[in-house]
Amino acid sequence: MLWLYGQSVVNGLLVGGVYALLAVGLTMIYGLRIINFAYGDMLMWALYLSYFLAVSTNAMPYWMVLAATPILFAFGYVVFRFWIERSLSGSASNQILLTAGMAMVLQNLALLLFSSTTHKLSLEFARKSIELPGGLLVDLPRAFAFGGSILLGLGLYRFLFHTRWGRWIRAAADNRTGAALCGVPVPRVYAMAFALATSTLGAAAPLIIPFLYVTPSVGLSYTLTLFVIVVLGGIGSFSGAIVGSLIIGVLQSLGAVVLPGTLSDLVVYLLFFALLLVRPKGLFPANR
Amino acid sequence: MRKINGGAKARNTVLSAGSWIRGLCALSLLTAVSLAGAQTTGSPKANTSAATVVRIGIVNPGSGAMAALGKTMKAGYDLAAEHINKSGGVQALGGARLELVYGDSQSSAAGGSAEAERLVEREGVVVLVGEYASGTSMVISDLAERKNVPFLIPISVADNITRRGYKNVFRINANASHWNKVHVDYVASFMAAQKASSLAIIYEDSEWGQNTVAGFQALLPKEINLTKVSYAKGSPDLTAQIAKLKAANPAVMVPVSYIQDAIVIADTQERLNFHPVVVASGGGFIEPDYLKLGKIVEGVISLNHWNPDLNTDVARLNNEFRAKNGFDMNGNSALAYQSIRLLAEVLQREKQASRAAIRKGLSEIELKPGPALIMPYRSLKFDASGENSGARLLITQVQKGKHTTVWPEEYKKAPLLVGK
Repeated sequence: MLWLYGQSVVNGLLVGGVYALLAVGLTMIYGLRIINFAYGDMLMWALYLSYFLAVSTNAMPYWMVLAATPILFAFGYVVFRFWIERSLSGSASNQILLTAGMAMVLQNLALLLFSSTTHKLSLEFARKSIELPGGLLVDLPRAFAFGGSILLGLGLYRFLFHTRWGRWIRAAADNRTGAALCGVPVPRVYAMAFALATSTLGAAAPLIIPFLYVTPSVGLSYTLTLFVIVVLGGIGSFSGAIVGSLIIGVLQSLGAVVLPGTLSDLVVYLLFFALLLVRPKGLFPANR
Repeated sequence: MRKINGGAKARNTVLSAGSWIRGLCALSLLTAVSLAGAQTTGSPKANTSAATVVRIGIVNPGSGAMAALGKTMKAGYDLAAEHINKSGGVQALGGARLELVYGDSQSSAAGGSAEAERLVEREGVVVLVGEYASGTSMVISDLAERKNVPFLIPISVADNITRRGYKNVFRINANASHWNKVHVDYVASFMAAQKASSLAIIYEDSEWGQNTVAGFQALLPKEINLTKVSYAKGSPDLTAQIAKLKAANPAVMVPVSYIQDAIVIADTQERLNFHPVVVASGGGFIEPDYLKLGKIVEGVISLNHWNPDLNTDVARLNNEFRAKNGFDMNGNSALAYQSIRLLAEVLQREKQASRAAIRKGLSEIELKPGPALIMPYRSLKFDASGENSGARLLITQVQKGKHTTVWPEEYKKAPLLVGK
């Protein structure tokens, strides 16, 4: 029984690592008060991209980071310029309608182009595990994804706190009008931030694809969880997103072992609910 | 790409974005139309003189969560209609062609009901066939009874579909209780032979999963120790659930899942080095995509309703099917095929293509094993409730990358292999 609890904590941390990989991009754009419900479906497209790149080149999927990141960056830029930007001046519900609609278009386009068939890479190494003392198994590709999420988090942190563009993004997130008055090119900064956040999906998808399948509906299973994580961690906070991801991952994993049936999701949402009552701004409110 | 920021070009931006938005609208409209179009053959009410064309309405999941299943079934329906039309149509009706009119349920009960109504009212079909999910077929059966249109169900298994005294409802597949009983009996006798006493079930938290578990709890011998774990359908990760099963160390594992979860389960078992004997309950485990996992699903046993190795006729049928579609026929496509063949036999017998004649024909017909019966049944004959009294099931095992029939004796192609 002890093995089981230990193993579920390990699993939870690994699953949390995957969430963290995806949550850093979402928290960044959420910090700019852009609500993107199509985020999970953009991930789905990034997964298809890395799947087909990996299949056609027959190379290790991790190399596809080099191709997928710039492609997703360009995609994010175009999406922002032509659609998202136009909804920013209106009420928040405009954005929700727009991005929820985009989610539907992205899903149905994928269904049309790739059909509903489950695509999955069959890689020998993707099923390898390392055994820790006590028989605990650490799944290799998930451990890589975990490492990737830490690198990605550090990279974004450096960018935001040590570059001019990063400073502008933080300024625009903090006070849009104020930043514009000080000469920050706010529209360009927003486009840059949105494109950058979307490009993190291009970096994340090749790290996930070795152990995940792709179907047009795979994004849905992530969107809600990611929003919970981002709000839990504190909107716009990187460390919050990473810690929040690990907490949710471990809770889901332990919950599935301790509680009967699918009650583990209930634990996640109850905790979320309680936390919002006590700390409405999340665990680590972003201080800029 | 044109640079589009800066005040001087603002109007330009608006214009080009306006056309982009129109483009997006057109694109999404196109998507919607082509998704619907993919499911509709023929134009409505196109010179349908009853003597030359018999219109059959099929409600099928063409999009949504069940779209992959819908695709395998549509291939089965289409092949059967093609066979009948190519061999001269229905002779007794002067060579009438069968025309399949599809409605896309979008994998939901509401969508299925709306499409069934459209097929009956606007397309004027003489019989309804479909869906896959029991809940959807249940809703369509209410509509069919109200409108007095015969409704032929190839697959949906829920018991209560045929237990409401409806005159218009006919089901070819064995019902859920039958599946459950065969499954539990097989698992219990297998475990007795292996002197094993610990069984684990991992099931999706749907009506199907819960019914299967309830069946096992009711029918399983008391000395067998049962561990149950459920999960939310479509979970991207099931490591915690599989780890829980592994800790219980069962000799046999029964998974109740559709294809995506079946893939995740197989992968996770491999990673956690957990290899009990798997006796699955059909579903995703008999889908073509499951076999693509290769080595790691070798030896998986599953309940099944059809298999290409039954006899040379169905093997030939499967070859034709594969050449056309690029994947093997499975139980679902076979039942879809069977339903259209059955309707052709009914029309041949009744010499009339009205709703009343088809209802009468379905309630009276008895297909014996032969070219028109591709299922491994004793016969295909509906009892007073519309249940097929001759339905039977198979057990297959993945051997050398193929589903191989291992039960019952008369269809057995290879001995059961246990122990990797």
